[in-house]
Amino acid sequence: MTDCVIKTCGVSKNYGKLRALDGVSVTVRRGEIYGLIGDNGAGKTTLLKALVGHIWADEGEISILSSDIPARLNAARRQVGAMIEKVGYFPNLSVEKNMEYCRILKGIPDKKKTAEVLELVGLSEKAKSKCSQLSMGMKQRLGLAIALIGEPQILILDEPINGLDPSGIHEFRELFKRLNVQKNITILLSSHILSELQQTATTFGFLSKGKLIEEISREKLLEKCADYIEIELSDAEAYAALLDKRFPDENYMITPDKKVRLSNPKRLPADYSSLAAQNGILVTGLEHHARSLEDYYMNLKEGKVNA
Amino acid sequence: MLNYIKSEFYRLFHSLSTWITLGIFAGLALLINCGLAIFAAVQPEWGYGNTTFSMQFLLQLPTIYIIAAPILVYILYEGCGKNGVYKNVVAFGVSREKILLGQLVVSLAFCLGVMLVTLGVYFASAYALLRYDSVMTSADVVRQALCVLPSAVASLVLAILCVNLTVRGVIGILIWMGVFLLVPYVCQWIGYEVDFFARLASWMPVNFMDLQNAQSLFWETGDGIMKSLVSGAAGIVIFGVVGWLVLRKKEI
Repeated sequence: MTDCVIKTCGVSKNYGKLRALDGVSVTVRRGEIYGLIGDNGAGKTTLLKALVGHIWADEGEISILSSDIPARLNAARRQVGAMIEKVGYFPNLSVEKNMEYCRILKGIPDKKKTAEVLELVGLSEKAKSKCSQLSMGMKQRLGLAIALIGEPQILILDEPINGLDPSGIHEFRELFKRLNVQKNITILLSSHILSELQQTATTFGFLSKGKLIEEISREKLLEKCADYIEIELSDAEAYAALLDKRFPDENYMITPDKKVRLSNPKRLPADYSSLAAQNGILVTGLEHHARSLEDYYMNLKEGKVNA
Repeated sequence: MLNYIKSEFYRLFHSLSTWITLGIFAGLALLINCGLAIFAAVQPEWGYGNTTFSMQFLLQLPTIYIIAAPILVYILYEGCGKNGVYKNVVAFGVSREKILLGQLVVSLAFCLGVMLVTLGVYFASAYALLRYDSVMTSADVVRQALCVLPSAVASLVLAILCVNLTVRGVIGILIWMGVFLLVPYVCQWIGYEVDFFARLASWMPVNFMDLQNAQSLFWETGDGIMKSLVSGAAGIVIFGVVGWLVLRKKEI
């Protein structure tokens, strides 16, 4: 379990009668980009707030970097950079001074770190601007800069791309990947923009109505969401031999019910039926299956996918 | 916690509001003595253009230190909760107890700094602009200020608690006024009927510091000094413990 940097075990949180989290157990391993997916009100922010200590879980255990008792948990949180909900800053201080405040708070002696982090998030030009004058996208950048100062081992980010323009989203996406690969920072981020997480995360956690309904690696998810064509034929073995000969670059398998399944097909469906027809093999059915993360999530929510 | 205190001092020194506040307090001190000097220059027969009257003016207002504390705390911490800055501090692993203690240290230093500068300007301007008179001197003001200090610190602790508890700092200040100003009057009022409340009220700063009907100056009597020390210490402990109990589990 040494590679496990965040672990929650049966974490629950109630707000009056509302059960915001219901026995959530997540495991984030070192080096992962963990994408927390869920609708508004699914419990994403509540879980992240409990992790960083903004709120207290009513039940369950939270462990960060193998520390689970409150005093040690607070010490472990010094290795965490977080941006949860609204970015926190002093509106009447400049961006640079807000960053200096955080640098001193985190006990970083090197003053150059402030400029470095501002450069990293693309906020150098606004260093002297008052925070109250920043646009929403710029505030998001400031929030990320605050989270990043001190080179944390873990980044916890709640909807980090909210308010960013398309180029900002691209920059952030690339930055997350770079931080993850080059600095080995483990990232836990939540979003309801599934296409965005699909491009960034290496592990996914699906939350619905306060419950974790599935935790799955990127590889397994891709497998489950894979694009494939399933062809029902009069002679599957003969068709397989034809595929080997005519389309050797195709990846296929014969299913137990004698259908040919082509994974990530490289040609149009018509090409496959033509191949069969030209060689006297009867095609009795052809289905093209492709699922996005969104489809997968919707099916999962509705209980149509076996986790 | 030391880093939190350092970062708060950094903010203190780099906030315009800090210097504006200091300027206003020092400016008011200067204005009072300038006003006295101008009156004395315009009307030579007017007998109050001297340092004794200037010092007496301050000595008549012992609760000014108690009332100044929440104003300064408000200037320092109002909006911090609303602006989400505690989120960064807590997420970095600083416990709420340490935040409370850190705020106490920083605001106490700020209040003492403002008090020293204001009194410095007051004394300097009085001695520079007014006719010297030795009946009441700056030493009397300093003695009084030192005697009021424990109660002022208790007021400060309560103000930090109130401003942290409420999203809007103004509400916090209203709660402070209720506890520090209204409760003593209510106790005194009930005390006319119930002896216990009369005794209790007599230990509350705004009551025993009320010089309107006082027989003697409280900072010059053993009884007055004891009341000031005991009520101040009790206030610090009570408000401190309440603050610790309430804020340590506060969700942000």
